[in-house]
Amino acid sequence: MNSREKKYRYIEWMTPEELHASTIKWMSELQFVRDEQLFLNDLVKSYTIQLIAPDIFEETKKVIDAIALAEKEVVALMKKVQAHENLLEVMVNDVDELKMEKAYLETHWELADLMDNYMGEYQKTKLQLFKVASTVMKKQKQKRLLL
Amino acid sequence: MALDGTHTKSDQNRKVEALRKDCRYWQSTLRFMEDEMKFINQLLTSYVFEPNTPNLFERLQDYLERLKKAQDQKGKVKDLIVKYQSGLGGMLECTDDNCDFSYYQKHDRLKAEVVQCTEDFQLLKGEIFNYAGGILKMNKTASSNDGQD
Repeated sequence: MNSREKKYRYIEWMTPEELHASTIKWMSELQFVRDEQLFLNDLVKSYTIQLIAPDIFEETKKVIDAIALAEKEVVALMKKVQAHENLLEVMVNDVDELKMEKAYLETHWELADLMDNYMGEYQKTKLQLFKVASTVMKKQKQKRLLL
Repeated sequence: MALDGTHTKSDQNRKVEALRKDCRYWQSTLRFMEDEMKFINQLLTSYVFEPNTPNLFERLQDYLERLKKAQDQKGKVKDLIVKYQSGLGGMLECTDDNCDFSYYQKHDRLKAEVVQCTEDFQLLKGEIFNYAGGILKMNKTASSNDGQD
């Protein structure tokens, strides 16, 4: 028999209220990340001269590139989450659209994965920046004490 | 074992593992928070934030105090998780829903503590970053003006 094997995947069902609540939570988390990135940029700008010192330049470059990427990605992710929120109507209207509702849930879980991955990577990047900035701050403090 | 077959040893193992997974996630969140707290503390005590007006001094002190409270709160929640984890093995012996329920209730209470702790810190962090960002900008402007003079 040449029939295609069907793949079944378990998808946890969520109520529209739960879907809405988690989407709102994602948006708020991403908004916070954006605000935080403004601070990270200020931090980098204020320590630019120290951060480009030859002994830490390579590390700084890696971190700053990663932050720039995270800044781009957060905007893209926010757009995806917003678009997903706008389509929530599929789940609340009176029309029985099982296929669309299933697709909506699948998208929801995909977005949940994207959020997890993004937040995980972003946290790592942030800690790397904190590490470099801490080194710079310590050096500055030592210099100041010696003066 | 219950007659409905929902409290077999493997079922209980699976339930306990799910709860332990949550605990590991909370612990990782708190560890990350710890690193952030250390950095924020260092930032606030760095000479960049040396206050030049009394108002600034008060604000800085307020942030440092609130940061200390947040650190204590995090420490308490961390201990609660360790204590809770050490008692989780008891759930393996549960043979009815009531027994499971008491563990789930404890789990939910602990979850609420973790959420409260992370949300409180998130708010404080937002405030501090906002304030610190302003000072960094101010310093930057002042130093570029000095350069022009």
